[in-house]
Amino acid sequence: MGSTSILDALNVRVEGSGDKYLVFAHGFGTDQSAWQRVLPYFTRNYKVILYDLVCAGSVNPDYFDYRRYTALDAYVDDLLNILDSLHVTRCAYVGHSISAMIGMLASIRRPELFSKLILIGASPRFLNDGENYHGGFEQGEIEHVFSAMEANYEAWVNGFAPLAVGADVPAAVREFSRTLFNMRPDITLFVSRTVFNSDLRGILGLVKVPCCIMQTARDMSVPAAVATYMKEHLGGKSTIQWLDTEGHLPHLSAPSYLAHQLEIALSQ
Amino acid sequence: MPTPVSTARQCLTDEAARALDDAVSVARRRSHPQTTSLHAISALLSLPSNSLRDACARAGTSPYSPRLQFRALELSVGVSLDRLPTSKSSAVGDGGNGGPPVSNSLMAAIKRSQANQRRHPDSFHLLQIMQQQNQQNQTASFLKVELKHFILSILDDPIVSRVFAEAGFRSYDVKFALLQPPPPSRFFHRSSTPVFLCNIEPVEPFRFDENSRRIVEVIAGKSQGVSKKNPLLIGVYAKTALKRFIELVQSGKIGFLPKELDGLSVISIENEIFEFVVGGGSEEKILLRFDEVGHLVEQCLGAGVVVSFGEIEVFVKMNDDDDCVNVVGDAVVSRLTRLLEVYGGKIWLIGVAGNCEVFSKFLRLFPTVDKDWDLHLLTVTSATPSMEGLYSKSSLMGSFVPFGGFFSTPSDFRNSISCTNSSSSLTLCDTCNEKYEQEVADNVNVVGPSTSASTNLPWLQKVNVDSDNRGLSLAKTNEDNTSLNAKISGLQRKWSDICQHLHQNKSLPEMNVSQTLSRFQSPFHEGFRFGRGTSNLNEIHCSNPIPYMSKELPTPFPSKQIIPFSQPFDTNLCAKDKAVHVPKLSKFDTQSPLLDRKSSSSLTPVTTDLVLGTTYTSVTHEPDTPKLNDHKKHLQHLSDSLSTDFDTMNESTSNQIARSSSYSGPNLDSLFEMVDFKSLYKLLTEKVPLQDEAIYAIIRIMTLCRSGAGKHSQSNSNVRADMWFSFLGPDRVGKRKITSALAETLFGSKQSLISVDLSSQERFQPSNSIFECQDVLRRKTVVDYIAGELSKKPRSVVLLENIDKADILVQNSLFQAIRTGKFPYSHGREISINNSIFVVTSSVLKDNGYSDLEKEPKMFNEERIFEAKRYQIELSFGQASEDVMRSSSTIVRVAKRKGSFLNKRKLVEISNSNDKVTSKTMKHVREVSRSFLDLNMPLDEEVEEEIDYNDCESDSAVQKPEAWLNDFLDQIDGKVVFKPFNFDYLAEQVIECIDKQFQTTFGSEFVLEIDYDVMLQILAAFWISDKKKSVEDWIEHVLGGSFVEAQKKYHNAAENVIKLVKCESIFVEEQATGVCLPARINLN
Repeated sequence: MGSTSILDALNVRVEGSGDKYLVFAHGFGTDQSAWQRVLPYFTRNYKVILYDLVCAGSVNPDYFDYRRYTALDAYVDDLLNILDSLHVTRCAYVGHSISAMIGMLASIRRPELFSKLILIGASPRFLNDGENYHGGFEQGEIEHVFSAMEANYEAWVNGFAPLAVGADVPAAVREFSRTLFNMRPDITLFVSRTVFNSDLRGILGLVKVPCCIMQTARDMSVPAAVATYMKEHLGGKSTIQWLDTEGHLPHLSAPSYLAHQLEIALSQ
Repeated sequence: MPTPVSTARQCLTDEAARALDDAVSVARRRSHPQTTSLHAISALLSLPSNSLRDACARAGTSPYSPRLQFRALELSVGVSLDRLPTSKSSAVGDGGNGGPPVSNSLMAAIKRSQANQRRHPDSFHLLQIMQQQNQQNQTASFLKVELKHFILSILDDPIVSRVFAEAGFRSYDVKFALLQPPPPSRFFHRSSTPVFLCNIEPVEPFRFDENSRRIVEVIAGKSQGVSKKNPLLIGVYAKTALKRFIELVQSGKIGFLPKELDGLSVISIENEIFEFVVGGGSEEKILLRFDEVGHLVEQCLGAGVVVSFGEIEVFVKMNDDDDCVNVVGDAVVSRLTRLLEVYGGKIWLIGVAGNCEVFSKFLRLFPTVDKDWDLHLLTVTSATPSMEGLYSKSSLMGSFVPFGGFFSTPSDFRNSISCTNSSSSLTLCDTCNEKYEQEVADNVNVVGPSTSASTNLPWLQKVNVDSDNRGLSLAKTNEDNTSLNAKISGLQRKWSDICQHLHQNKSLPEMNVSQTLSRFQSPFHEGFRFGRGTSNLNEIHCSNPIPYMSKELPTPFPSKQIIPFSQPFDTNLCAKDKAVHVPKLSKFDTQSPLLDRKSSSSLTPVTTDLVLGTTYTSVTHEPDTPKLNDHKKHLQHLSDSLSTDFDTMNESTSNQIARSSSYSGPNLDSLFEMVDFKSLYKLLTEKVPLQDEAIYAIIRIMTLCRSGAGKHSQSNSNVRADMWFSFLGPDRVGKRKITSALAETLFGSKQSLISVDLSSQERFQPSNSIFECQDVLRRKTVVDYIAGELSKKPRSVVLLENIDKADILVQNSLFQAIRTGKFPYSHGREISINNSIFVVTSSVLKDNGYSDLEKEPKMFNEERIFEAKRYQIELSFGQASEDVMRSSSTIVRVAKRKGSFLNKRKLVEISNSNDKVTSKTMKHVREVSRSFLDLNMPLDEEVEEEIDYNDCESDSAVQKPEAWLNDFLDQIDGKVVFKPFNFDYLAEQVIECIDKQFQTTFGSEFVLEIDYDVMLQILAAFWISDKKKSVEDWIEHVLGGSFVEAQKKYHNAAENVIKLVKCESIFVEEQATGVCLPARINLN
């Protein structure tokens, strides 16, 4: 397996014919297909890089190393490796949920590589921290979720997907359920633990690359206060784009609207 | 359904088969009905030495001795086996295959191990050999499973992992040990190419820590070409990560040190520094400690020493309170710097910062430290040690089938079908489908010894479609099915070819909808196609979609459909039938040429599977029905608009002619040969008043198109019948109305209008606007929405408003559509637009030489009308302002709007007019007005308006329509320019009408003052209303009624000014019939 290239392993695709690079990184519970409906808007002006996170259902689960992927940094390694393998020297980056975190960490390590980060449904920390920080989740709740996941994964997926999608878009719920259910349950659980155990608050200031935070109304995973928190603490120039749509997965539930917003954000 | 042992054995190598035999004998001994994974485990453990025992021994991590743990394991296996139900004696030894059959779960484990084994590159060649064998000798089974993989997948079984867990083993560890050969190497592998560490790599479990690994990486200078190598951990978890790292190094358990760092040691001087800096400890002590460190480094035999100086908060915090601390901090920092200088390559510094604010402060205080210390920032964002407990917690671990992509919900199946090109998916009619399934089933039976064809079929299809869709991702997991899938897709192709050939349902968008329907319809269309008398049959088949893609079966004739289905008619019969039918039809003058041609045209090609259509049979079956009605019914049913009421058909004769002729035509080509443009013009102008010019232009373009002079169809005129219009200029509602009228007259119902406002995604739509906004488009891409609607109702008018706002996706689709006659989904699938009319509108683009009218200032213009909202309206008495008193002759007048305004322009306006009731009457209004009009506009307001208009112009100039738009518009058949709607004239009429009402109630002593917004609302309602006189009716009944009421109530009132105002922020609850205005007016 040592010879398997990361480009193959993570199903890296480069689409489009523009002169600039644009990375679409999917979030937890989806895979690159989540961008399918957003993608066509950008292929004319960008070379769009798509890949699957190692935890995605579409990646051979053998690649998921339980010791390595305990921290987000391993995912960051993957991202940077991909960009290096493709000889990308500069790109704009669109990351959703966990990939937003990954993007921020990557930009700390290699600031010259990223011209702009667009963070959709991003949060530096999902758990609440006393009075100071409202991440949206209590530790107890999380444990509850985890045990529900362990008990009956399918039931959990079916319950969780509509919540996450938020907006009343059956097709999006279906799509999200599919990709979520494609993940091996133990990996899902492990990754969600990793995500909930991560805390980026200490390092937000190191992110010097300009960021655009896209925040939807009623995102069950990310309260609006988090977006404001991020804007205040990010080290570079950052803006918040409030999206006039609901749910954690705007690229599934409102693709054309999101594409339009992305276009605006990218052109700024 | 359990699998016979002999079948299961075929999948295993000898060694593994022996293990299975043992398991079977365990099961038999215990007289269990099936052999399960537990039996296999029990059998494996009972052998004195084998790989499972061995692995368990190595995986043991609990404090108990391995012997004890084994005992516990055997016990718990035994207990679990005891819990299994025993079978009746008859079941034992069934089938004479020697033992209880293999349970589903165990069989699944075998399957998994097959797949797993196949994924390993070293056995890939084997796979290919097997595949070749498969093709040659179809009875050969799959790849044989080795014992190792067999055990591995058994361990995945949830029951087994539970049993192991009860005995204190983690099945994950056992698996891991199984994969690892006994001698563990301590080398931490980082291969040159960036790859994942795979599970098989020899890293000792539980001595691994991701954060520590990264620290080591930095120290060893391996971190992505960065030369700085003294790590500074930063982040919330930095402190715990440092602690963990120190622990690991000190305990010598760190299992991943590269060779050059052998014998690395760690010293923490954190406490000493803290005491010195914060606690004011003596300088001597700290100096002593530094010396000590120096000695240690000198004596160090290993790679070197890592010195931890702890949190940099210490240096930073103290500085806040006390100046002198800076000196102390300085001292420490410079000592540390000295250490680095002196002992160069043998010493590393390590420290932590809780967040970057602290770090930047630290840098401010000690500006050179970054360089002096060679600091490498290492972000620490997760607390890894807590992860250890994870493996045991997760009972799910590895228990899932490794087929990552195979779990798809049923809906997924549909999805993927619609995503992939329809030709590759199963769009077969059901006869063909049946045959196809039969053939697939045969194949599956042959290939897979253990798979039952009928049950597996959908699953296999799913996989197949899935793999098309996901490409790479599934290629690996799919391998075991590749050969089979290849066959199946081959069959699919074959049968869809056959099916297409026979039944021509290629253009059916969703076969599932009704397969029978297509069969029943196809001969009908065939007839029509031949009727067109075109010689090249094939071409027509490909290019002409079936126009009547009804979603529902025509319900009134269910029984009759069945009869013709079953009996294929030969051509003679068909011809006869048609001959019977033709005279009846030819009563319609417009249709007779078509039908005549049909009957005379050659019928010989109609040989294959021709089935008699309902149209003909029903005529013969129902001779009593009036023929005209009967015919209309068929047409009605065949058209998309099933919902249309029959009665409405009889409304007007001219209407009928247009409609019925449109029904009868198989496509628009012949439709327009039939349509009498004069009557169409008459119909349209009746439906849409005041738009005669535009309608005339449309008709003219249609005529041109019919004669083959349409722009886009010049190249291949005969095949395509779609038409493209562009409606330019203002009057958005007028455009809508005409389009909707077109849909209604040409296609029979208003439902045949697919309308999309392309600007709706950009603009914020105010709530409660009188003008509806579309929410659907948020959720879908515009392209998919249009394509989806078109597939539902191919005979439609597609209205695309604000074409200049089209996004790239829409642009591409439109270009493709206008060039090829097929409108693509965003996935690439296409839908024919042969029977559609496309109307694109733009208010930005104008024809040259137009727009002089625009310059004239208006009190009401389109832009403002669009701001109208559904306010509740109320009547109240009040003081008129001075201006009103001055203009004494007026009874009804429109007041300027007050209150807050939305945009800048309005602010200017307010400052100018300053809440005055308008005083200056507009010139032309005054001229025209006979009586009491007071459409007041201040002079400066007019200027304002003009400027505003120019602003608007320049705005549009800035976002100039790109080249694509001009390109696109050039290809369009014809352009229709609309005039601005004359709202002022309308307002005049409305006021006149209100005035009449008002005077009859109140006489001429009172003055009515209408709020500007209310006036806007009434005008907007007028504008969009379809029915004539609806607003007049409203004025007469609703408004008039309220006048009467008010008169009764207030006839003694001192004020003589009555105001008609909007209720701010109260929206219409109850709407008057047929018009967007409140059904009731409040009295105040």
